[in-house]
Amino acid sequence: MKIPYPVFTKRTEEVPNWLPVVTSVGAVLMAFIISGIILKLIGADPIKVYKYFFKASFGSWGAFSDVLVKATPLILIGLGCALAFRMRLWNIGAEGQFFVGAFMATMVVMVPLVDLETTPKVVILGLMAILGMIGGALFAFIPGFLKAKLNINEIITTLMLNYIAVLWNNYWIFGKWSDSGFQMTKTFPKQAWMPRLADYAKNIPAFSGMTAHAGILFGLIAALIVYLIIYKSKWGYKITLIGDNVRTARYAGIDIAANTILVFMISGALAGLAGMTEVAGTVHRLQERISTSYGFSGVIVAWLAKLNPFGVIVVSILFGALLVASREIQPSGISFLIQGITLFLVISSDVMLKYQITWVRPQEEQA
Amino acid sequence: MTFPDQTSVVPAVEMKDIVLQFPGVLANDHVNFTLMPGEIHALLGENGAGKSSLMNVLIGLYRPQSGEIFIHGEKVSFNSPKDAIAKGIGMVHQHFMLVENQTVTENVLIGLDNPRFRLNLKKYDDEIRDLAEQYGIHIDPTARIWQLSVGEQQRVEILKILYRGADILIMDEPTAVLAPQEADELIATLKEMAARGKSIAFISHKLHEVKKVASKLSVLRRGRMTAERVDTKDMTRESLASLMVGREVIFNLHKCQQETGREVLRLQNISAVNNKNLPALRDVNLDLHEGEILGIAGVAGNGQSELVEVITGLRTCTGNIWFEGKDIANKPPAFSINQGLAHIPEDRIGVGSAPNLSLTSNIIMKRYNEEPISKKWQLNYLAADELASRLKNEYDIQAPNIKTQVRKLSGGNLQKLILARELSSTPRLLVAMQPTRGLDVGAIEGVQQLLLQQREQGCAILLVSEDLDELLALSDRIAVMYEGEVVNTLCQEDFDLETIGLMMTGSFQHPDPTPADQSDEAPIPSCEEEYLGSEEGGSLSLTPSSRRRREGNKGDGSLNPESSQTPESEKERVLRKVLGDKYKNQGGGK
Repeated sequence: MKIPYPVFTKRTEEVPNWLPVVTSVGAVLMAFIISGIILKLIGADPIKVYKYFFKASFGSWGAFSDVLVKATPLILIGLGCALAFRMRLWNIGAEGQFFVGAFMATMVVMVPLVDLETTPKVVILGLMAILGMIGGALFAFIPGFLKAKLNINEIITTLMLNYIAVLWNNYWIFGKWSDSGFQMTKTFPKQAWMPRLADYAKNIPAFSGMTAHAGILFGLIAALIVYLIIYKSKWGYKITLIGDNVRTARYAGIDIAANTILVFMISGALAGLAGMTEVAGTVHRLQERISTSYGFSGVIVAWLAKLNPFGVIVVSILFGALLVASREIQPSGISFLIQGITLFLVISSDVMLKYQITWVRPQEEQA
Repeated sequence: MTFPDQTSVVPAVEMKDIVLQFPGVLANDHVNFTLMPGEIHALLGENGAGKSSLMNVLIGLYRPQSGEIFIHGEKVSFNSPKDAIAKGIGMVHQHFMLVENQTVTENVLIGLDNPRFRLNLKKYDDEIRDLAEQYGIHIDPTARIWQLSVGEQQRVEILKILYRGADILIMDEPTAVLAPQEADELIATLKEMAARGKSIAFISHKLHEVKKVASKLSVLRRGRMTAERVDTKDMTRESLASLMVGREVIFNLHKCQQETGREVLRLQNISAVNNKNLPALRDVNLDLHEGEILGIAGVAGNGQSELVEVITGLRTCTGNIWFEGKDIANKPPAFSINQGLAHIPEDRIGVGSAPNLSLTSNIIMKRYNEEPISKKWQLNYLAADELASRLKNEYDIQAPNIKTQVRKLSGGNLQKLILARELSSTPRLLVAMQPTRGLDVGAIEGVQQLLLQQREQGCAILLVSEDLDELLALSDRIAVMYEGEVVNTLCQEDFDLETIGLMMTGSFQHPDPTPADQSDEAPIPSCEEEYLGSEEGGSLSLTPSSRRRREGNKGDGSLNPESSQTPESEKERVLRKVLGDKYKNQGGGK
């Protein structure tokens, strides 16, 4: 039997605007189909699982609020990664920058840097946010500087610095700030809590029990800012130019070293801010496991969003949903399975943007 | 189709009725192409005429919509270049396909089944060195690609194909990157290969070269064959040019005589190292004035690239570079750009453009800081698009629209875009490196006109070219570089192809004091008042005896394979080769 086989040829014409959207959505659907087959093989009913999945994350406002809580750090980290990746800076140290940001924010409460009783909440939270960003930025300055001045591979440095950040945090939560022997600080006073929807339950009863906090606003504002930087600003143009061709950018008179450090620091600041929102908004203390690898998921989020800031929001919410659903579904690995397959397929689907596929029938050949 | 004289011989390649359709472009319109064994067959045509497309069909990169291909009489259908390689077809692409961080040997071995697992690099180094020597190719197999000049990289590409034992070679404008002597060497290599039974398809723009290398030629224009398998000897330069372009091409540029103005650029004692950390520039002194074109002649890799990089701030150096009274040595590139320096880089794709970005993004590259393209932090894409559209029309850049990624542009159009960007800002100083390399006749003419236009507007131009034709036609003075030194700087009155050629090969290092014995061979003076070159400059002269000494010294790196000829015939040959009918005009142009 002669089966037609595909031949890949490089695309010569423009990629139509709708195609990337179609391939991405198609890839996500495909991921669900493939995961469905696997679920079937292990004896589950995929339709039922997906229904439950959906219900667990989008079934009620309360569930959706949980999704937003999970999405908040992902958005901030994903944005930082998207910015760095635009310049082809492979900052995979968001995890470390996240921890340092969380640590710096915690300092405000634990040292304490201000009088927690009398200082207004806005000032405390503002200080925590600023210190969190500074912490992330300074921690990202290290690989940025090494990359810019000595051309040291940033993948290695950022990856290694992650461990340093985790151990640094451990030193404080095990040693100095340990809450009666547990590896965590004491719970922050309410003054240092991010406002949550539940706080307004008195006026709007529907909000009761909802844990979504103001950190999501940071995420939305940051997305807008990153959008303006990338698509509307002179600086964004420079970053894109450096990302496409460093030698050309240098030829065009752009200071590669300064921009490398700057982009690294902003990327780090966003991850640091994510750390702050997590301690002040969700956990309300510094502890060992504040991150369920948000830093690494952020890398994936940025890629799935094709480095588009608004795409980051959408993908983060999707990922947040998967995280929430994984609590409800056993084994919880299923949601990670879907995550992995989705990433794999979305990245592979890029081939469709670069190549055209034509089907060739073998008969034609041997005529 | 059949050829009465060759009916008994099976063609190495026979392509019949090839139709290749790209969206909006018919790249090949029922094209036939036949290549006989042991033949060098030239394929001529302008950029975008479909030459490369046709050859890409032959090597399996593109699939034609219709048409048939026979290799040694056997019908084939290639799905990938791998299939073509299996049939003994190899191609040296115009844009090299090399891994920059690997050595020559590693690049040659890439994609081969052997070595399978363990790579005994040293053994293969020797193997490749032997192979290279066999064909007279000079290359260090252990060098890494990024350390090599463009000319040397091409040799690696040729080696790759030779190593794979291909018997059908496709050369996509192989001499575009070579100095005349290197080109001669390559042509000798190709002829040697043809004599050994290899069939070579030779894509070219250079008319004089085609006449030298190929026995048969075909001409493509806009996807159609306008001449098919004609004898090269029957064609003249003019008839070929009109077949390619479809109209008469003017071969003589009009360069107006004008006084040069005040000094714009002065290099004082510039020294620099290359990527291998070896001295690339040794104590270079040059000066350049308003409305003047200073040509830099030299064989590739004698410091020209480094000179350009030093001036444009892309390479550190010692010494001073005075540009409009300011020392720009070791200043960041942005500094001299703001002072009015424009730069047409040698590497259009790697340095001159951001391939995945749009026309617009590439055009505003050097003026995104100016109003109205940007206001404070904001970039006004509307204004940028407007500028891009304007320049696209003004410079006739052929592209679907201003959003097109520039990697989709042909070489000529990409160069137009770079010229549009660099020249539209009315630069004070233009540093142009190989601005016409790889372009077709029509486009070359356009680029050269633009350079002369800039000169008339008072721009000071440093023109680095390996095309002596071009240098002689455009330059007001020519500085010849050899091993990082400026051997001499010649004024227009003293332009002499042979002198420059000898200086380029270093044969002028120790001039013979014997006085000239022929009236037309009077000592070639250097540009006394302008001269800033090395010590030997004052006594430089060209005499038959100095030439004889060069011929006697075979091992001195002189690349001319025919150097055993008598001085007279060699000179005639060289002049005819490079200048053709222009020689008289050149001499009488003053």
